[in-house]
Amino acid sequence: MSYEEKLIRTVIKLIIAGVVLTFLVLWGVQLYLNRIPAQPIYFKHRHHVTEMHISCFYCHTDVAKGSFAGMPSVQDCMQCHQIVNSTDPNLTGKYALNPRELANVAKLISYWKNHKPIHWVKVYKLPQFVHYTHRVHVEFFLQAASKDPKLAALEKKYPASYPCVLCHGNVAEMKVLVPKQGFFWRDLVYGGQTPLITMGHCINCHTEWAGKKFPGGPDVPSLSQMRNCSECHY
Amino acid sequence: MEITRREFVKLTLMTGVAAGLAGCALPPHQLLVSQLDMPEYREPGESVWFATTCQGCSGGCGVSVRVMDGRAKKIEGLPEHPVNHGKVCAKGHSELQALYNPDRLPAALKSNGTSFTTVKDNSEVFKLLAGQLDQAAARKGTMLWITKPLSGTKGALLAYLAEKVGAKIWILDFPGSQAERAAMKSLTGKPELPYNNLLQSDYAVSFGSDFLLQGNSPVHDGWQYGEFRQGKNRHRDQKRGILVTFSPHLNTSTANSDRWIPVAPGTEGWAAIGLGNLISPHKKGEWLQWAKPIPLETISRITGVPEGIYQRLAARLLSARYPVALSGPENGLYTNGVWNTTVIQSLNHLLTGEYSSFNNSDFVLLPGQKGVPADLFLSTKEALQEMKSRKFETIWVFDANPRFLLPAALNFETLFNKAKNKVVFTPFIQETALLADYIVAAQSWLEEWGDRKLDGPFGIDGKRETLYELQQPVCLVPDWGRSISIPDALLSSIKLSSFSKEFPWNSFRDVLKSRYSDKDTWETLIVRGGIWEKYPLSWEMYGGDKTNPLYPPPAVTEKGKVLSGVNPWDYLKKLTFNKKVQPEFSGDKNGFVLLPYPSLALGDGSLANRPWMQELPDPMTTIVWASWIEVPSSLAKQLNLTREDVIQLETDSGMIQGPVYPNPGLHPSCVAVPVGQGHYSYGQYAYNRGFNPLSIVNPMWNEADELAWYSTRVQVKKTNMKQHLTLQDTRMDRLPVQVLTL
Repeated sequence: MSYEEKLIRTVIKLIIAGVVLTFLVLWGVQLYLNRIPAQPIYFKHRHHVTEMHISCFYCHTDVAKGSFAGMPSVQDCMQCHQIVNSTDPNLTGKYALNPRELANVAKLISYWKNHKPIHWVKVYKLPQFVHYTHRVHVEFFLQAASKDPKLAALEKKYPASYPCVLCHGNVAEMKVLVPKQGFFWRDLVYGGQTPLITMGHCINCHTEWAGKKFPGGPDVPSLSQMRNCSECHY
Repeated sequence: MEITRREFVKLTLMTGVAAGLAGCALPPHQLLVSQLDMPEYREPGESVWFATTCQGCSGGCGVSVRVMDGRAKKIEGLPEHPVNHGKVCAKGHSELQALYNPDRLPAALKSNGTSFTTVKDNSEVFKLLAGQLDQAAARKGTMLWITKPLSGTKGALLAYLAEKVGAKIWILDFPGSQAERAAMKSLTGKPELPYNNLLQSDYAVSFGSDFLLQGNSPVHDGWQYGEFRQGKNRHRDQKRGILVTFSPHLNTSTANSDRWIPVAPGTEGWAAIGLGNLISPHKKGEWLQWAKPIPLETISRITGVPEGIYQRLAARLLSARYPVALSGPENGLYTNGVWNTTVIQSLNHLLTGEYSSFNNSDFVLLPGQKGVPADLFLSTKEALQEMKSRKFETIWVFDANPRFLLPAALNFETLFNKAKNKVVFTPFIQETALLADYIVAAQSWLEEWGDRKLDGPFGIDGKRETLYELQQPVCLVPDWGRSISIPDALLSSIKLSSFSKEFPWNSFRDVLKSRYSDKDTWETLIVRGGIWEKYPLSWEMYGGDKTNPLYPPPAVTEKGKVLSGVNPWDYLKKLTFNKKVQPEFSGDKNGFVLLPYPSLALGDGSLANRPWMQELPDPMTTIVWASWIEVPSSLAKQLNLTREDVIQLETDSGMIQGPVYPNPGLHPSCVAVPVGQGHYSYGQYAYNRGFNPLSIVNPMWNEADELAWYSTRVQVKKTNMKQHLTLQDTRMDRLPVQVLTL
């Protein structure tokens, strides 16, 4: 190989390396810019669900009746926290809150006092061409729990968070809810994340339960209906 | 140079990985905003429906709004409402986009000369308003209010307050109904609006009224039109109705006619005289004595319509069982607008034996209020003259946009800036608001209380009936905002002023409850949305039985006395309908008459900030998100214009440029431009889009001293530019003109 050929080869390699490096830098920048911001209040599902045994339905009230699970209003949070705050003398022993937790409660109270709603960061974002209704699924799993041994066991294991745990994972054990981005280092940092809900997840479950009939109901539609595209894409 | 296979694979892989990574962008995050307080009536996942009254236009349609978690989701018509019979127009549906518009003002703003800052607490605004009210009361006649048409108790409240402080009220509306009211007052003694009695008719002749889209009650007229065409008129003779239209412009209603007869602009009244002169010898009714001697040849020459057409049409009207003549706001937009409308309604009287009218803007007086002084109101001409003479120290603007609507030649900005204190009440920063010292963030009608009183043939079988409608808040006001309804803002300010004792109410809801103090009345208004006689047709259509628990409706009373209203339009004193028989036009005699017509989607421009309305295709041209200039086929041929060529329209007042849409549905002496675009401040969806044809109109006046919008001639010049139009139509260019004439 002549000197010129070597030079050209090196320059080409440098250009390509430069392009790749630029892509990587830009990718990193957009990763940073589009990073999921922290929730406005560091709300711990673990404390509320596992330790205080508050059911998912208590806050996410629309889940059994509507398409969306619903977000609790600030008033809902204040039902407890008008008492459970830094002025509560009963917050001792196992009920004690550390200073960081008390600061978060104080933050909540300031939202209420200033008449400001909380702008939570959305964890689950379905594309616009996907329509999902919580009601149908929650109703089914609640009714089927007494008739299917697997579901009954799950309900026994997660009394406060059944049937939500089937899709959303053990939210009760998560420090803070962060959507899975598929990057393992976030799993390490945030201590368990919500499962990535993809179309495959839905199809698997629809296939597994299709055609099942329980004495006295609920009856699950047939496989062709459960895998009909227009059930969710309309 | 040789590259080995290994190197090639390496390079390809590296490039592919880099490109793949670049495509793996994270989607931007979204926010979920919780409510502060859930409404008491809320049931999770369940909708609640509220009956209320749409205030999108003056029609007064009854609507029901679906609300979930305190948020309004959908607007539908009330099935048994006698005005709209369960239907809602596109404007009504789009009111949600005014309610949840991202450009809505969350709080009041204060000007520092160059920009606006947010007012942290509304009490600062109330103190300011109270001070201005006291100043005005001390020096009567120095305050001016500019407003859209008022009605109901809100109108009465404003009139009562204006009388106390000596303020004058200028009602500014496009296209405006003053000419029609003046015409009906001269004929019947009452300044009401002409009623299009299509349900009475089997043969209707219209004189350019776009009653299906832009009339005084478009949804009601649309319902009537459907029944008319299906032969379901009140006489039940099952005969399909026939519609013929005289008009210089093929609008949507005209396009629905069986025949369109192009007529010279401003001469619709002359066309009515032509028909009336032919019909009156064969009909018993009254006809205009002074018109009888006018020969048909003269009328044919003035209108440009052959004599044979008048003769054939008159014969058909005579053979029809129930012919009617229809007029609309368009007839009033010439310098002879009142005369035009008067003559057309006289023809209607000849054909039907009666004057059919209705009123949608009575004021429902407050307790103790004796009436509304006629000299409270100013016409547009009077208001501008008084602004010019520096008479007003304080000007308040209630949800109107005069800086956008008025022609540039009137120099509204200079006149407005003469006032020391300027406050604009509006939900959006529009053009007029930019000039204000304070902008008060007003609410949508979906968030505030109100009412309306209608009088007209809305009852069963066309019986004249009075309707009382309630407008109630259906959704929670956003927690992050401090918007306030205009009546509540005034009442809060009055509390801090020197005459607070004369207004003993804490809120506008209290005012309404004191008007409809009977318990049954209030409950019926809340549950049903209004009080009217049962309309069996629609009730049964929606599966109800004949036993309506809310029928008969309770009388609307206040402490045992039946409530009534007062027509505030008595100020219209000009009755010179027998002068100005010929329309006058400013500009070059060889120019073209400019017809700036209100567009279906954008109206007078107030709907331009709603994406649903911007993307609603114009019914005639199918154009979206743009302005255009319609030219007649003869002009297009003369200047060799094709679609999307840019032309220039020039008047003494200004110039606009825009893409051409050759329209065979235009009289050869006219060009037409839809109104609504051309905002330079009205939010992201309206900003810097299209042009405003109203700005180049030369100020001419009709007999009611209101602007004669259709009285300007323009010079048309071709440019070398092209501008793309987004539209769905491909056939209009190729339609033969002969299809559209008798």
